[in-house]
Amino acid sequence: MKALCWVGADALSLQTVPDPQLIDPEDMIVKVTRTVTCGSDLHLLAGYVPSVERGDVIGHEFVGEVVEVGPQVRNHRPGDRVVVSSFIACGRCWYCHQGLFSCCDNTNTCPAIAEALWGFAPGGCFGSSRAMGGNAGSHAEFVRVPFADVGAVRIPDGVSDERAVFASDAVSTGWTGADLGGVTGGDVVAVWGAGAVGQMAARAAELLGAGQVIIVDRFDYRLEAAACMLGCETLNYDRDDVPGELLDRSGGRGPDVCIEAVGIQAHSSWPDPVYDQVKRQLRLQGDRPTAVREAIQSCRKGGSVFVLGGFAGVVDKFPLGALMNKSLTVRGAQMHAPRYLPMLLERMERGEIVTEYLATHTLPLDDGPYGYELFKNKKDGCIRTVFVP
Amino acid sequence: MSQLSKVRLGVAVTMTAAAARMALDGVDAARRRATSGPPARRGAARDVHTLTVTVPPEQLLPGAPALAPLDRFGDAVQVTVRPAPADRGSQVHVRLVGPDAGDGRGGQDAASAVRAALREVRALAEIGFVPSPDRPTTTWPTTTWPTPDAPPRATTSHRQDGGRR
Repeated sequence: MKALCWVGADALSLQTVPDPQLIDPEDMIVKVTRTVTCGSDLHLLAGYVPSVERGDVIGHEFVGEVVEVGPQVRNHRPGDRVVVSSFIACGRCWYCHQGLFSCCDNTNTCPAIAEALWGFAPGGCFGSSRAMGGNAGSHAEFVRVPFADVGAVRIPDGVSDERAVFASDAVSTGWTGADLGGVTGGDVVAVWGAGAVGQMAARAAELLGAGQVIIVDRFDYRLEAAACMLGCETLNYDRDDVPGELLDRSGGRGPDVCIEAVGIQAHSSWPDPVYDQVKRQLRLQGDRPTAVREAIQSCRKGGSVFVLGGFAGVVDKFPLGALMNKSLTVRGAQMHAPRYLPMLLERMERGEIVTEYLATHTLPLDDGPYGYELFKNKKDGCIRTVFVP
Repeated sequence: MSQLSKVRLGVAVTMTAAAARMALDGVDAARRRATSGPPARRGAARDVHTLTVTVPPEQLLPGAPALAPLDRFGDAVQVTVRPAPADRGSQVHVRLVGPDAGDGRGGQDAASAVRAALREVRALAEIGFVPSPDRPTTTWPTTTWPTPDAPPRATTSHRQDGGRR
């Protein structure tokens, strides 16, 4: 089959790879019908994430049609249209029982790297590094889906593939941030990053009852999309004094909940980029936490900061003093999609969550490298590129 | 001094100060690395390994299928199963009792082998099988040199310590 493979830093190539096969009894093979670029792919693509190998198939946000099921798959049959959680969960370990599906104890088949990096290994993920299990990704014609009954959900007839595909990751991740960030009725919520995850975090905050949602980015076309499609207030950090504006707009109190949806490659203004880059080259810092710093600084006393952006290593100048003295709660997570997917699909069916506008470019998989070039360099108003294998 | 020269001087001073600060940070980080942790135990392999499994102790009695991964260690390990606090399943304790535990290489290798076996115990108890990685792991026939992934690839080329088989 055809698949889009990582072949080196900032290099992708369409390759012919073996078709996936059923291996474990709860596996399912899905014919991919839509698969999406994601910001976390960019961290991977640029070589920021350790233990990716040449030839690895990338991609983790997808929908498709079931073509084959293992003997212990109960909820799906060939022909079903399904959306699949980007993270793989067994559904039976302690973490899955707590609803922390991305922390699953049993689905990372290569846990030693993550244990060395982070103390414990998260669950497996499609199309990521070996620290996340090294499962083949979805930018391919077919993909093997382990623990199909847990991670895959049948798409209701009233929801199109074009809408449902974002439930696989962006919508689930955004909901995770707003829900676990503790958004409640009337809250002022600030979201850093107006990519698909940031916009879906903002939408989740609105649906959870936030009274005011403010989204921060530097690309006007993304801010305009958030304002137009979600009704958010916007701030462009190239022009606006973000902490000052957040203070003013929240009546001098600061946002109740701050959600960071940016991650490792956060952009910032002089002189921070030089400082952070030198620290990174000297191996004194792995990630760039610009937005996290600003979120902690801006959050009201006793508020909540949620880190949704992808990080892999250590950071410098983490404002621990602000965290402690302002009584903040800082929390982070990969997404726990199986906890939310059925509810999100219902909301999609009712029209409460609309995602089609995020797919600014739809291309055949053969154009994968070009699709990532558009996405990475924010060309042609790109929010997300969707591939049709 | 012209305005431009003042700016240049300011930038130079700032950069020098930043470089000095980073150098100090580097020294500090190296010092922390050199002195952190209990010195007597540094680098030593643990001889007791514990994992909590979300099934009751009755399912982990001696001879239970889920404990099979520990059989390969024979008399080199002592296995104890206790109820986890608050009905949260069972705690499986494995004590290495000899230097030749596991694959015969002892030390860190044995500890890694025991940890890998405990993960298999947990998987067998909780889901009934040990999940398999995708095959093949990569379709690229070459090594990854000179990218920095060569060392991780070597590390993960075997599964006894958690990497891929």
